[in-house]
Amino acid sequence: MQTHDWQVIVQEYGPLVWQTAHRLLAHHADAADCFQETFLTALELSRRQDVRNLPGLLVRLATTRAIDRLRQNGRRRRTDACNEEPIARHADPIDAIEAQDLADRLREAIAELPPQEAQVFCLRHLGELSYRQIASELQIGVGAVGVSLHRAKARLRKSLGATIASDEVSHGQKR
Amino acid sequence: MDRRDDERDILSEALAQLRQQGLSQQPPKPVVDETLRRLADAQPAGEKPDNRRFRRVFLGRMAVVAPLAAAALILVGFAVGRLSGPTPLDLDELREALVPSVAASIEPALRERLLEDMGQRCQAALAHGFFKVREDLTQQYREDLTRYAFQTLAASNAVTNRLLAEVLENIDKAQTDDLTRIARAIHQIELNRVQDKTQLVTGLQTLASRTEDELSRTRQHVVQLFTNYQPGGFEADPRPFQSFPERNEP
Repeated sequence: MQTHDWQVIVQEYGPLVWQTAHRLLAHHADAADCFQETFLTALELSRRQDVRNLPGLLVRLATTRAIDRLRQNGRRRRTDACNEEPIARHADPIDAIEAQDLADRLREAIAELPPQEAQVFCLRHLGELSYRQIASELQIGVGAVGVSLHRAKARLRKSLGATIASDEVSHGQKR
Repeated sequence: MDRRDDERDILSEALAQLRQQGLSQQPPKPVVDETLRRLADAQPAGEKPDNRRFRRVFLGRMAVVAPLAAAALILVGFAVGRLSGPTPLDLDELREALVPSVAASIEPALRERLLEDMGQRCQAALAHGFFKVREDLTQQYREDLTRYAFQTLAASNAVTNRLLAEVLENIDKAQTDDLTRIARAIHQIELNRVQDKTQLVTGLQTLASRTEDELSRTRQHVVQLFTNYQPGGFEADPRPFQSFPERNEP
């Protein structure tokens, strides 16, 4: 059994785990819960088996927990996210609100993906893991990673396009 | 094809927005502390970092101490071996031979040590004396200051009392003068009143006597008038009514 100094690990990889969770959840309390669950699960795993890639494991666990929580919370996320994420990177408030709305839509679309596709997509595009690292973390083949990623992108494109089209229709009707 | 490009752009844009969010955020300290506490609770006692750290420190210290202890043991063994060996030399001769050289080698060091010790003691005594003198002077200064304050306060009280006595005396004198003047005025008023009363009495008596005289004279005239009256009329005795020239007399 490996022994780790978890104080050092939390100090070193805490920001990575926090950013992974907070990006997907955009909610402080949920991100905090996800942060703690990630490290506790990593501790349990490190007792049962040797951990070769600790940051990869932490990112994978944080992503999995965040997706689960995102799926549980549903659309509540959008309101909280709007309240919690101050818009500061855009000079134009309209652009900032649209960007925030787009990120919320992507979160909702990720929550509607099948678990493995959601994990692969998040690990690849948010965790920035390679195909091989994703395959190693999820214990699947590299080919399966590519297939899952392709399917996830297709579903997300479809979902985002559908939501934007429905919004345009609703806005047109209001006008 | 254009539609596919739009959708890809939307996905890329949404992904870019999602990547930008929370990039600069650090985990809050309470969350980190709570996580560490839960991790510490979840770990068995033997795995806790404190025990491991203690073990590492202990092993590190042992790695330093063990060679030193081994070297000390070797030296002690060597010394015991040398001392427990045979001594072919005569101890008295050896002592006599060694005493001058030992004394010559130790004496300068002893002198230097003694001088140094004396210097330190003198410095300590001077420092102690300096502090004692400073404390005595401070105490004396405070006592003088207190005495001067008492004297100043007493003198001030005496002057104040004297001035107050003078003020009271002046007030009494002024009150006495006022009372004297008032008594004189009252006495003068009384004299004037008595004099006025006397004059009034005299005037009233004069008035009464004159009134009495006038009344008696009037009575005589009335009697004379009734005596001279006749029932036939006044024509038979046409005597004019006599006036009373006395009435106009002063």
